[in-house]
Amino acid sequence: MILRKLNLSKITLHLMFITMSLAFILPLILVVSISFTNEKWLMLDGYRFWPKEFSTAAYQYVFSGAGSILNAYGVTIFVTVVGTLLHLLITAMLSYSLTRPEVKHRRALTFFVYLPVLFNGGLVPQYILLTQVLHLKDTIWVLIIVYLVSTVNVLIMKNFFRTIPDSLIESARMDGSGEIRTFFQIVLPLSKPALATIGLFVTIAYWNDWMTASLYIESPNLRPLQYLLQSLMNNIGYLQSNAQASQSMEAAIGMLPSEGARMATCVLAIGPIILLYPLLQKYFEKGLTIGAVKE
Amino acid sequence: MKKFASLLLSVTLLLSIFLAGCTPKDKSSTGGSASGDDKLPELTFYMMNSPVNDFDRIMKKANDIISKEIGAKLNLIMVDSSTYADKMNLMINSGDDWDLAFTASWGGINFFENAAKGAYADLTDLLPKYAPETYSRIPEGLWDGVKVDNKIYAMVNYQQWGSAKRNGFGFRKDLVEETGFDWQAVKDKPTIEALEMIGPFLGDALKKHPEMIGFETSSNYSLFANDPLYWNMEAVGDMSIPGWINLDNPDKVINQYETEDFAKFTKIMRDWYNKGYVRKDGATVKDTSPDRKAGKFVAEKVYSWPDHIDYPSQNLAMSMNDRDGKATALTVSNTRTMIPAGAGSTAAIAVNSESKNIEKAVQLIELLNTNDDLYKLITLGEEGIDYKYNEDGVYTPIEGKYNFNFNEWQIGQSYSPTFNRAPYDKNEGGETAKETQKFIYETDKTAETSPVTGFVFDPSPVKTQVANCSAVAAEMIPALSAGSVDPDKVLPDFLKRLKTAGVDDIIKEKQAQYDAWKKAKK
Repeated sequence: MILRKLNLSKITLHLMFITMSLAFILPLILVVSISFTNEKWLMLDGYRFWPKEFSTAAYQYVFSGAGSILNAYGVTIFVTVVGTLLHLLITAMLSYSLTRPEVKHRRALTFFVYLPVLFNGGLVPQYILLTQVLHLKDTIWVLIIVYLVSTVNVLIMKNFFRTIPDSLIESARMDGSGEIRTFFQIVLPLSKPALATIGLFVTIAYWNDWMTASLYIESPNLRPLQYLLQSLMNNIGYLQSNAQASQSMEAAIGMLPSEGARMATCVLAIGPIILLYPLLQKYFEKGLTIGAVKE
Repeated sequence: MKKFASLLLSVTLLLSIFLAGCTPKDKSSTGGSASGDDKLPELTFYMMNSPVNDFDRIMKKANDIISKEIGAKLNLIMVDSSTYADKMNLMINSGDDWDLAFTASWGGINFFENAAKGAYADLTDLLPKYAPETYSRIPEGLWDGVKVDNKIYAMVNYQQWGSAKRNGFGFRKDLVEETGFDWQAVKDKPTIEALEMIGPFLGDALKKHPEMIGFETSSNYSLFANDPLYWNMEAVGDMSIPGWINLDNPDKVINQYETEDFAKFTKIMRDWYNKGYVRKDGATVKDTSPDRKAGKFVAEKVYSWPDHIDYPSQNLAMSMNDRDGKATALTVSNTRTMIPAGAGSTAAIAVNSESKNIEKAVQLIELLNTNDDLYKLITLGEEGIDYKYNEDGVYTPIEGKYNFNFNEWQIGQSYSPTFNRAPYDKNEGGETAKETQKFIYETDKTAETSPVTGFVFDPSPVKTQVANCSAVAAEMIPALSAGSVDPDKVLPDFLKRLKTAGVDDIIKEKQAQYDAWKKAKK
């Protein structure tokens, strides 16, 4: 029975996907394994899929406060949670208003939302706006506000709201529901797939963002996790290629966290976000087709 | 769903309160710290550094000294090295607030460009007035290195390692003794010859210790492209752009990759690669510090001098190893002794031309350079709490405590005639270190200076060509320098691609600007 089902094309297909999955999973396992390997063995023996000598020293170092990882974790989680909720709320409200025929000038407003895709100010004006007009430099809010509205997400959301029948909203109004109540109790519950899809994108964007921090954050206790990770990875290369500048530079490179500690930081950085995928998967499949069909 | 909606609403409301409260609070916090301490002006000082423990404790102590001496406060802001250059350029371009910043002419920090743009304050008259000691202690030639249009735009951080460079090689002492390698013969040999002598030694050593690595190769660093001095050459303008001069024929700008030395160098590296003397992934590997820490290298490049022939009693180790560990080194230098063109702008501090406290900023530099206790407090921490000298008198940082990550060279002069600014071991080794540094300092006064000193290349007429050539070089140099490709096939291809990318235009432009500059100098 089983043999008959497994014909050649199926086997090839399975093999292909197994290889592909391995190509994604093996490096991850290697990273986890390195983070648990005794540092000395790592230098002498190189990388292995199973640590020769098990050690949690890297994690102890990371959590010892030297790298202020815990604090960075807190910053990242706060920014991600608050940022995603705010982003969803604002995107939903904005795109809902843009689909309602009652809103005057909604075409002009839509164009206003769309305009930055074609022309944007660029980095320097953005920097001037955030630091000298809004005075957001070195505050946690700069990490959130920069990504609060994304044109693409507004357009996706708008297309989704179009699929909600007008009659539904009208009947709610006749039954005496106010605009706000209609939005929160009727429209939003119907939009769960869209919210979940956008939510996932936004969560990952917030979680992975290090660029904003590198530009606007100066206090060590406001640095998010990905920024620490990014600098751990890049500092070595930068210092090594400029080592002629000072003989002290060599000692400075020696002070950077060891391989194990860097991998431990990696593991910590991917940890929570990887759990999000299975949780949101059921919405995600539905959400993928959003905006694909226009009516 | 009701719950969800009300949750969202309350979160939004809460946040808008936070946000509304945030801006004014921020203002009062910067103003507040000043008003609490008799309204002292606060000087912000940007530098690159990795995270530092117990930073607030040390800064509080440092500010006690600074406020007493010059009536100002220091706010030292550490930016990660990999983002520092971009961040500072952005701050300069957007007119953001800062008072002092570390500056240099490498790694994208663009000292000359920013100085020419007027971003940095002109210090020519302020220096002798507010920082006389700093000004007089540094050799005159180095000040020329931070001049644009005859005006000084930065304060040179004179380092304890001196300015004159003399490169060489270091070898594992135990392996030299084991194989009987005649390391002293490498002295003063041209680098190609030196490498040819080192090759067989690597072979002998690796035969006995196959787990080791002969020589370091990495994608960040090429012994040729990153180190003109080894090849008796000097870069005209930025090192990464083609166009160097040979120091024996300093009037003609050449394409360094067309030289015979580069061809020979790539051949040697290919040979070493085939024989297994270097890492197989040397063209792509970024971080070689684990190899260094494990003491895996048989031989390595060395910047420190005088070498073991000049001062045989020195106790040196291979890079990132303990001086009393097993990986002790023997070093020998083989290049000429020269103060490179970029020596002045290798490490310097600039003051913002828009700063409200330019005089105070210059005074702060003078204080950092003359008050040894303050400098040691910021760069080392407190003795007994953050570091100690162990029973052998060796300087030992205490783990988990304040550590400036050896970035002392960014905030002031680490050299001092009294040897009171750096952590010398309190034993014989420390004494030798002082002696060698005294020797270096004496050499600095008489050493030849690079013929290119003071020349600034303006790349704007050949911008496209520079971008194209940099891209080609970035792609090919690591592979050629690590030996992972066959130079017989790839080198001609590389040179051809450079030609297509417009390397000749760059050389011509460099030559024209260089000639004009030389004429003007005379």
